[in-house]
Amino acid sequence: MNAQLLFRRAAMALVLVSVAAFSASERNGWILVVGGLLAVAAGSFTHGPRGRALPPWVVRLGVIAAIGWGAAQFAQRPSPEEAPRVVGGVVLAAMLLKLWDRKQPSDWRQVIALSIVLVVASALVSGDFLVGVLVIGYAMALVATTMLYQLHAGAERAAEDRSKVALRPGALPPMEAPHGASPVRHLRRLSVVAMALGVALSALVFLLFPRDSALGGGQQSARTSGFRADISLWRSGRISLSSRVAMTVQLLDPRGAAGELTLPLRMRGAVLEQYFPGAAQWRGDPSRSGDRLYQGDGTGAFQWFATEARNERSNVWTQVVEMRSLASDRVFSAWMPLAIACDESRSFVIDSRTAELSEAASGIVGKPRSYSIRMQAYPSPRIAKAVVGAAMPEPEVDFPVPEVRTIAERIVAEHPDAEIPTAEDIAREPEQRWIRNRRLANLFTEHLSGERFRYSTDLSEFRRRGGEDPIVLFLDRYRFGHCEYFASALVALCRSMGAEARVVTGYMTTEYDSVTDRYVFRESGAHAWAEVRTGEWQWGTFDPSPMDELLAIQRANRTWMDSFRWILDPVEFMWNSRFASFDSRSQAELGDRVATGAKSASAWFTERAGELVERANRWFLLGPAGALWLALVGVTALIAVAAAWVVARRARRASDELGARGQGLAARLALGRDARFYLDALDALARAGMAKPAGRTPGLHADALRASHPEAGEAFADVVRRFYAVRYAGIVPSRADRADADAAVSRLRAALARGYTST
Amino acid sequence: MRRRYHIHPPGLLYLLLVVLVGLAAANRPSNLLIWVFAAMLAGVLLSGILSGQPLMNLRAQRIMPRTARVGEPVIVRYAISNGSSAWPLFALFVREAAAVRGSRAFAQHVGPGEEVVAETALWPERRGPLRLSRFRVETVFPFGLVMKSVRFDEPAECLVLPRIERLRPGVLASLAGGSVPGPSTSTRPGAGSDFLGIREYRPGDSLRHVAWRRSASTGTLAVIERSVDAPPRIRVAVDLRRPTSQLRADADARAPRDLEEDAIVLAASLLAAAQRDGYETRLCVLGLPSPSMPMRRGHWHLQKELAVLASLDLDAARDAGASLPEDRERAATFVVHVDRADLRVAGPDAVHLGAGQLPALAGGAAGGAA
Repeated sequence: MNAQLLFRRAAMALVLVSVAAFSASERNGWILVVGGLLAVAAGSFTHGPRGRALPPWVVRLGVIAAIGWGAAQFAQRPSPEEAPRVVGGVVLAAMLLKLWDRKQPSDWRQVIALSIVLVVASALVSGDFLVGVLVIGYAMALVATTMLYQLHAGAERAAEDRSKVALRPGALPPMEAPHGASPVRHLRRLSVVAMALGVALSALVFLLFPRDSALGGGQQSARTSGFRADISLWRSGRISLSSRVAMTVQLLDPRGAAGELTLPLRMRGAVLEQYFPGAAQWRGDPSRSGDRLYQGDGTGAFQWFATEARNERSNVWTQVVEMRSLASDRVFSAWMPLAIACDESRSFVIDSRTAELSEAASGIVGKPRSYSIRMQAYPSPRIAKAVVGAAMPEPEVDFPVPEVRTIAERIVAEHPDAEIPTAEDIAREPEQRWIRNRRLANLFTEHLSGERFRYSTDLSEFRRRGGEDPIVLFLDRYRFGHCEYFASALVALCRSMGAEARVVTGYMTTEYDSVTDRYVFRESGAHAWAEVRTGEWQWGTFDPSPMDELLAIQRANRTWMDSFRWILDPVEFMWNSRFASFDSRSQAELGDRVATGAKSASAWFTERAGELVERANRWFLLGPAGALWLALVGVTALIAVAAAWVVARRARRASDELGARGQGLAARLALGRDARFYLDALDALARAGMAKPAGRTPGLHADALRASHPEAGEAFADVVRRFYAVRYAGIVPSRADRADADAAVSRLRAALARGYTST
Repeated sequence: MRRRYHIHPPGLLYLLLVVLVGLAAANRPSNLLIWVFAAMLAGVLLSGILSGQPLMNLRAQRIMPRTARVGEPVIVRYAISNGSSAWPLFALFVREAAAVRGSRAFAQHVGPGEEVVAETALWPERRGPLRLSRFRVETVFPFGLVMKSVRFDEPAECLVLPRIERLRPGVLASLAGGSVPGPSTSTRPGAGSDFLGIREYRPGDSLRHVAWRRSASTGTLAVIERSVDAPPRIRVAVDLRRPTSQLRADADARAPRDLEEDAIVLAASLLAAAQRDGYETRLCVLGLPSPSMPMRRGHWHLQKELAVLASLDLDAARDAGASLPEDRERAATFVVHVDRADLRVAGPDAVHLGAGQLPALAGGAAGGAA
């Protein structure tokens, strides 16, 4: 077996898979192309006929330069999200440089260790399906590669040791590592067994790993889909520019015909009402007061949120959502939802204050694949009140950052023609309140989407100083940012002026597929906008992000590969739904299903066993105690099977070790019984590491034992003498003979326990 | 037989990495990272199972030669057998517990039910009995995280013969004054050149041996019988009557014990040179108990003499009054002294050599085998 050749190939494959994983996590194909070419070239350059390598000082200098580059990159964007990317880049460079160095077994160990770190960094950066497949593939390849490394390194180390200790060079021939027959076949089988065991063990640990219940599926899906159920303005992670399709939506008008709307279509996912200035975070209300649960029956019938909504006939649209790569427990709706339908028996909950829809614990592992929603764009107050519930608590109107009010007042002062109703107007006419809110929202939206503000996903220049709030920095100093900044600014301005407003996150698109009559929402379409209260039960949508720039950025990221992504979409959804989104709730659901399944299986088994016993009882006319009788018969049968196994084992041993091959079963069993003491002696010797070799007679083995273990040798010689008498002289031992033989075996055991005495 | 787990530094580093990844997985809600942590943890568990289970049925036996020589490698073999019917064994190292210069034996693979012989070379640096007590079969297969070993208690012994320096050709004859004496004739009939006698012709005798004149005078065929050639003989005596503590260091400041060893090496070299030249030899050791050796020649006789030299215990009490046995056979006597030559120990024709003369007598490549 050429372990060196096999190992080199396996190691090179491992390196390429790790480079591919990092490339997939960064969504940059050039990393794979350039890195892969360099790795393959290194393989033939350093191991080819000439076997050259880079000078060691070049490699060291390169590694130091890579570390310096990494430090500089991290200094530019010092954040936990950037750290894995930087570390991955440094490790990739170091690994490629190491491949161009001369490779001893210790160097290969470093290359493998670097590839492990690279894969871990890739897993930290992204949990995409492709990255996941490559990471899993890498783990399985690592099993075989590590085994081959041990063989290769072991042989090299042994040869090196041999030449180091030689007193005269060339005194010994080159070492050839001995091996048995079919080493490659055995290694392959062992690798397969190890991989299977590894997958099973890792799956068990994965399922049992404790997960934070505060982080629901939204947090998981944020990493894979761009959508976030919270906003952190200081999070310097990049906005997703992936053109992967998150979901498709078909809009059916009240007559049931699919159609395209002229405006960009927005899908609400999460409503964020609370702002925490210290962390610059927007979050939803965790208490979720007023939630109402709707249980689906799996028939696809609509579950109406209010009777009035069910009876509503005018302007009710149907939205059919089909998830592609996005797996989330959030239910996305374009307008006010009135009912929901799903083919699976899932439960949904609607938040009375915000009309947010999400999946509740349904006992189904995985996220919903498709659902339909009945909705209205401009519901009447009666319908809105019925759906979101009566006695809705007043939303927040104050903003905890005082500087924002100053800015808001300045903006209002700059636009006297905005005709914002005053407090006196509102006191005189309460409806003026909603007019005020709407006009304020329009004013601020116009201000933010004007020429003074610029849409950008690159926030490297957006630097924080001291305890400054990012919204204030955005409004006052920098005036550039992405949709989260624009939406946060609009809501902050409105609230500081007493208008109820909230941030909404979800998706936005203008892409319509006329072939399938569906809107296409891509991951890069994850968006944030604002809702301002414009009525007792109504909230208006206001999007201050500059549309032209935003749409231009999204369109620029589309490539020819997008046309073929539909091939992977079902698999990717399965990955995101079952694996990437597996959270504490999924754990609980799986646990319940396992427990329920185990109970039902146990109950089924007990029931069947009872039926069988009863049937047998009736057949054999055994009467009331028949069950007991059958149980006794069963136990007896088990004992008989065990006894037969023991007898067969004894007969086999008599054939093998007592030289009774060819004799009848009765003779072998009799010999096994009479020479039981001899077998015990052999077992004692084997346990002490002095097993009798197969080709050596008992007498010779006793002589050999005497030379090194005189006491044990004498005791065994006594046992052998008695055995010969039984085996060859035909003597049937009496009870006293058996007792003496057992005593001889005990002496042998005692001598072996005392250890050997050197002569 | 004793099984043990050992701390292995790469395994500790790996555990540290597992802990770090586990902390990262706990802090960062990424299922892929959680799975990576789970896979790494599974690797630790697998390593223990796959390395421990196969060793349960491992058996090993040492195969050692009876003799060795200082400065020459001793090839020690280990018959490693795998008693399991399912589990193969990979990457096994065998290490001796005794403090002897040597490397580890390595077996790449032992299949289920198979036996493989691995070998290593030990380099004994001292003559005398080389005692090996126990050896250990160890492996870090499959992942290099955990090292498991099985210890076997199997004492064995090998006699290390003294080093032999190849003396210059003809040095024995030149030391003995031009020729090494031996009996002038032999009394044993053979194919030599000396006249032994005349006898009757027997069928099968060569016609070239017929004594024609005697045959003509007697009327019956007679043949000339010749005797075997009588080879030269030397007797090598090693003077070890003086205890080590009473010896003087030589001009090169070599320690007294080293001088005694050099004397033994010189004696061995003289015997080997004599055997190479076809002489009969006899070894005598003065001062230490040793078996009485006959005057013989041949490879096995030399091996016996070297074994006697190898078994000399220089720490034993010395017999200061020992003397050379009476010389009944005509032979050249070479007496090897450690430091000062005592001319009274042998006759006037004896050649007295000092241990310090070894380099001069060798002259060529050192360490040549007989």
